[in-house]
Amino acid sequence: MRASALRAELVKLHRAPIWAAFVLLPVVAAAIGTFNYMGNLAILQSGWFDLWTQHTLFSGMIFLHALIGASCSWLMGLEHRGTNWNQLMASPTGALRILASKLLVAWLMLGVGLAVTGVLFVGCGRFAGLPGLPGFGYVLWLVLAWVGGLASIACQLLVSLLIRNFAAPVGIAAIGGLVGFFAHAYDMGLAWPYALLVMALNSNGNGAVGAGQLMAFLASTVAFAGAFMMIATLVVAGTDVRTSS
Amino acid sequence: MDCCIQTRGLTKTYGKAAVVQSLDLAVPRGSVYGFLGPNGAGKTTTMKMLLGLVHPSAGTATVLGRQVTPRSHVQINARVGSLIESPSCYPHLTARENLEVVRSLRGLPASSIDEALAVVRLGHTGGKPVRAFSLGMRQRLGLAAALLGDPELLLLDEPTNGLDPAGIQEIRELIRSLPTERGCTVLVSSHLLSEVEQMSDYVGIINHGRMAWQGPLGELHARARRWLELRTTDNERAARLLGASCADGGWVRVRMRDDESVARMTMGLAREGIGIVRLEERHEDLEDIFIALTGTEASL
Amino acid sequence: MRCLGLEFAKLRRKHVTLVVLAIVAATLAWLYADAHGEGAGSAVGWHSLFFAAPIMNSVFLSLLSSVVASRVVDVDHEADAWKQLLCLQGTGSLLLAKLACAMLVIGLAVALELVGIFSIGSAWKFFDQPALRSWGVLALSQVAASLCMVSIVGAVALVWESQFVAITCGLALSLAGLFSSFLPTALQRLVPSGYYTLLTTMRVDWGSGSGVPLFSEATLPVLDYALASAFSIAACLFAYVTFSRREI
Repeated sequence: MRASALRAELVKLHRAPIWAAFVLLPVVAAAIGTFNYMGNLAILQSGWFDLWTQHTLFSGMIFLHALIGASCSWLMGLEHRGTNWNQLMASPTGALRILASKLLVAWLMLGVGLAVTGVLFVGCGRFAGLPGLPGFGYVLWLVLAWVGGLASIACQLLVSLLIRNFAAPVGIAAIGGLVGFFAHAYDMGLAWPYALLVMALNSNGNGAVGAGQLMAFLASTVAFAGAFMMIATLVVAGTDVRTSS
Repeated sequence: MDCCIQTRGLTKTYGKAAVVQSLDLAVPRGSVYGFLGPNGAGKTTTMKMLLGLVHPSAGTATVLGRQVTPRSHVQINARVGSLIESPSCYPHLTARENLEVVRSLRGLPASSIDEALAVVRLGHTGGKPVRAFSLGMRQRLGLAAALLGDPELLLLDEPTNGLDPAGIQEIRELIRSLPTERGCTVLVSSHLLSEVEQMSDYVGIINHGRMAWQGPLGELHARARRWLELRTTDNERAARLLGASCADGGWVRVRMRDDESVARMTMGLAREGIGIVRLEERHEDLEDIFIALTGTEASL
Repeated sequence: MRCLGLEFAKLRRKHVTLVVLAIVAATLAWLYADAHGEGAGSAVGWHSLFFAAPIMNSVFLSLLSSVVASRVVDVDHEADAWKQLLCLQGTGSLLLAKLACAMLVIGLAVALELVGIFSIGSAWKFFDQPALRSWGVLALSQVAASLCMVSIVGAVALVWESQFVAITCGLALSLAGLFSSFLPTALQRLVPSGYYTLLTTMRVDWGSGSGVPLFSEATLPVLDYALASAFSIAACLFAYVTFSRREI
C-alpha cells in the first residue's frame, strides 16, 4: 500500500470537525448580510449583486482569511504539540508531501466554506424575493476565489510553522486580508498573496477577474503558493526538529 | 562485524556547547544494543541524528547500509521504527486512529494496526481518546507506533518510562525477543544500568557526549576486577603474612590467583595455626564499572 | 494581586503586546482613512472619528478581546497546569485573575487607540475638540463592551480546550458585530459584539436628503450598560460553574 500523507491528515480531522467553522462563518455572514440587505432595499437597487456584496464583502476582506489562519494554526499546532514532529519526520514521508497534504486539507475546507457561501447566497436571495437565479458568473467567482485562496493558505501554513502560537497567525491573516482588500482597491492585488481571494470574489464591485487577467491571476496564485510551500519545506527539512516537551 | 548502525566522529554542537562529540557508535545486526548514560549525556540527540531529525555538526552516520543525509533519511526511515523522547500522539484521537496516522504515513496494510495493538495490549481501549490515557498507556501506544509494520531497526529512547513494574518487565521481555522473533535490531537507550543489563547483549556507555566504552555485555563483565576474600581465626596475622589488606567487616582481601597458589596460601596459613573459616571470590559489579567510566551514579 | 502578576508572567513571550499593537494599528489605519475623507479642519471631523471608532472596534477590538481571552486561558491548557494551579488557588480567584489580566491588556489597547484618535484628529486640525467627558464615555463604552466579549470567549475557551473553537467564536462574533450596527436596536442587543456601538453616545442622522450627516450626542444608554453587564456576569458565572464542576 502506498504511503499517504493526505490520508494521515484526514484521520487527524476525526473528532475535530474544524471544517464546521467553514460552515458557521458563511451562515453568520449570510444571515446578517441578508437582514441588512432587506433593511436597506431603498438604497440597494442592484438586486443579486447587492446581496452578494452584503454576503461576501467583510468575510472576504477579513474573516475568511482569519478562519484560514485559524485552520492553518490548528493543522500546524497538531505537530507543534509534544514530540509529534519526531514521529512525522521519522516517517518515510518527505517534508514537502507532509506540507502539501496540509495545504490540500485546508484548501478542501476553504472549498466547503465557499460552497456554503454560494448555496446560502442563492437560498437567501430567493428568500429575500429576488427574481430568478443569479448569473453563472457568481459560480466562477467562487471557483476563482477557491483557487486564489491557495496563496493565502500556503502563506498561513508558513506563518504557523514559524510562529507556534495559535492566535498570532490568525491576527496576521486578518491583517493580511485587510491589506489585500486595499491592495486590490489600488490595483495591486496580484502582488499580495491575500488579495487574490478578495479579487476573485469581487465583493466591492471593482470588477471581476476577467479573461484578460485570468492568466496573471493564476500565475500569481501558483507563484505565491509555490514559493511559500518551498520555503516551508526548506524550513522543515533543513532545520533540527524542535519538540515542546 | 555487520552493523545496522555505524557512526564516525558524529558531533552535534549548539553554539559552544557540544552535546555529542566524535561519537563512533557500532550497533551489530541482530543485537539489542543498550545505549547507556546519565540524563543529558547526549543519547536522545544521537538517536535524533540517526533518524535525520537533527543534523550533525560533523561526522557521519550510516544506518542500514546508507549514509544519513537530508535526502536519504526519508527512505531509510521506511525501514526504521522509533520512539524518541516521549511518545508522539494526537490527544483528540483514539489509539487506533493515532496508529492509523502512522500507518498512512508509512504505507502499511490495515492489519498491521491490530497486530501492533495486540503486542502492546492496547486492543481494549476502543473509543477512548488518548487525552484520557495514563502515562503508561501512552508509552505503550508509542511503542505500538514504533513496532508498526515490523521495521528492520528499532530506536527506542527510554521505552519503559512511565510503566508500572509489571509493564516494565513485559516490555523488556518484548524487546529481548525482537531479534529472534522478528529479526529486528534494537538500539535502546536507558539511564538504568540494571535495565540495560537485562535487555541487551551489546552496551555503549555515553557520558558528556562521548563514548566512554562500547562492546559486548560479556566483555564489560570481563573487565570487572576480581579478588578473593577470606575470614580466618586471626585476620590480622593472616593479613600480615599474606601482605594483604584487612577489609571491612573482618575480611582479608587478597589478589586473585590461580588454583595452585590459592592451595599453597591456605596450607601456609594452616601451618601457621590460622584456621580459614570462609574463602570467597569477589568481583566488581557493573555499577562500579559504570561509575568508574562515567564518574556518576548509574541511576539518576 | 499576586494571582494577577502570575497571569502576566505566564503571558511572557506570548507576543500579546505585538498582537495588541497590530490590531490597534489596523483600527487606526482605518480611522485615518476616514479622517482623510473628512478633510483638514472639518467641523464634524471629531464626531465622525468618535462615531467610526466603535464601529471599527466592533470588528477589531472584539477580535482582540477573543484573542486575549483565549490566550490567557489556553496558556494553562497548554501547560496542562490546571490540576497544579487549583491545588494552590481557588477557582474563583484564578478565573478572576485571568479576567483582570485580559481586561488590563484591553485597557491598554483602548488607551493606545484613544491616543491615536487624538493624534489623528489633532493632525487634521479638526474643529471643536470633544470634552474630556466624551473621551471618558468613549473609553468606558469600549472597555465595557470588551468585558462582555472577553467573558464570553473566555468561557468558551475554558470549556473547549482547542483554541480553534474560541477563536472561531470570536471571529463569528466580530463579523456579526460589524453588521450589528445596521440591525434594529432590539436585535443588536442580542449580539455581544454589538455593544461596542450600543454603549456609545454618538448618534448620526445621515441628513435625509441633504447629504450632510448630522451628529448628536445622546444620553448614556443605561439600559444597554445593564444588559452588557448582565451578559458579562452570566458568562463569568457560566465559566465558574462549569469549570468548578468539571473534574480535571
